[in-house]
Amino acid sequence: MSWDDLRSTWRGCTPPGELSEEEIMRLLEQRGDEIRRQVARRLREEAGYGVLLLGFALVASFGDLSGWTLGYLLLSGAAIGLLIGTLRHQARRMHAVDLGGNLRQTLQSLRDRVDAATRAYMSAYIVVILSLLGVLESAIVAAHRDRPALIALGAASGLVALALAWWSGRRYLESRFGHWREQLSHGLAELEHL
Amino acid sequence: MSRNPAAEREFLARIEQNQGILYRVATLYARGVEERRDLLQEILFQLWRSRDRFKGEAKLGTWIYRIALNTAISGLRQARRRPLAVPLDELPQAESRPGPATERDPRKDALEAAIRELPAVERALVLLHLEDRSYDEIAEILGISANHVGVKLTRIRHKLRVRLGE
Repeated sequence: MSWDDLRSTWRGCTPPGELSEEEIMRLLEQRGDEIRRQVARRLREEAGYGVLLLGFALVASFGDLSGWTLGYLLLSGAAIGLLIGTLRHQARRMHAVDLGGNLRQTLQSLRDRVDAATRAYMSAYIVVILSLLGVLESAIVAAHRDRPALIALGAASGLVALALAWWSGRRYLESRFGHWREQLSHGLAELEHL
Repeated sequence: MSRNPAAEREFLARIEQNQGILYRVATLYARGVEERRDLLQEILFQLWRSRDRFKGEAKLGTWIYRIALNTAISGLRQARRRPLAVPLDELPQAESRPGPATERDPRKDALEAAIRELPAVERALVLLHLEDRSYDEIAEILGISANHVGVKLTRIRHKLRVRLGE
């Protein structure tokens, strides 16, 4: 069996495309609409997280909007902004990859961007958690200078919260990008061993 | 999607000449009608997004193959994928208007199945070779050396012979 035999068999394997111009444009418009809906949904979700965190801070303040509480509120807002901004920027970078390059370049570039997104998100997440924990611990220290046991308990709880944040952040990134990264690596490995 | 009639016309003319490429890639990299349409839609979308980057340095067919294969193999479709917001029966029924070429032939079905079983990059290699692309062009699309193409195709032909029981 030669390549010519295979080729002559292949010729009839798949039907030629029959999409009309209107159908092509409709497919494109549907895809565009789908992406717009995804962006709107993500915006709503992000706004929801922001409201939740600020609500938590307000409840924690018991209506006393001064000093540490105000600082905490401001920091929460900045933290949410930092996280959302990081995710947005990295997502844009990932989807802006030029697919007109060769397969190796494309897979490599996408994997690099997935890794960069993972690192950036994790860094931003940890900075946010650290800042919030730092403010909370400072508030405890300011209010209970004479109770070292309580301050130590606060610090220990903070460390546990940080470890949990690290673990949950890794899990989130793994669920979001893990499978994709594996697929990209698999493609690159295949090219290497060709 | 913003309307630009001139850009649309140019884009559609490019696609019109090369619809076969899109179908062949979608057929080899997706299973089932729904998944095939989804991949076809993603490839079209990526071609639309990249349309301004095509400056004619490469052949149009080569450029379309690059984008179609990059989209299919990189998993960009799954990475973006969300449940379709439109009912599936509203999507164009491209396969509901088969021409004479869609009559089933066991040899063709067996060949298609054998190619589908190959790893993703080997599948691309076979597809491009069966579509009469030169070794240089295949090397350019995949990012490997032209020497490798010939060596690898010999090995793949052996695999296909075994799978086809010849």
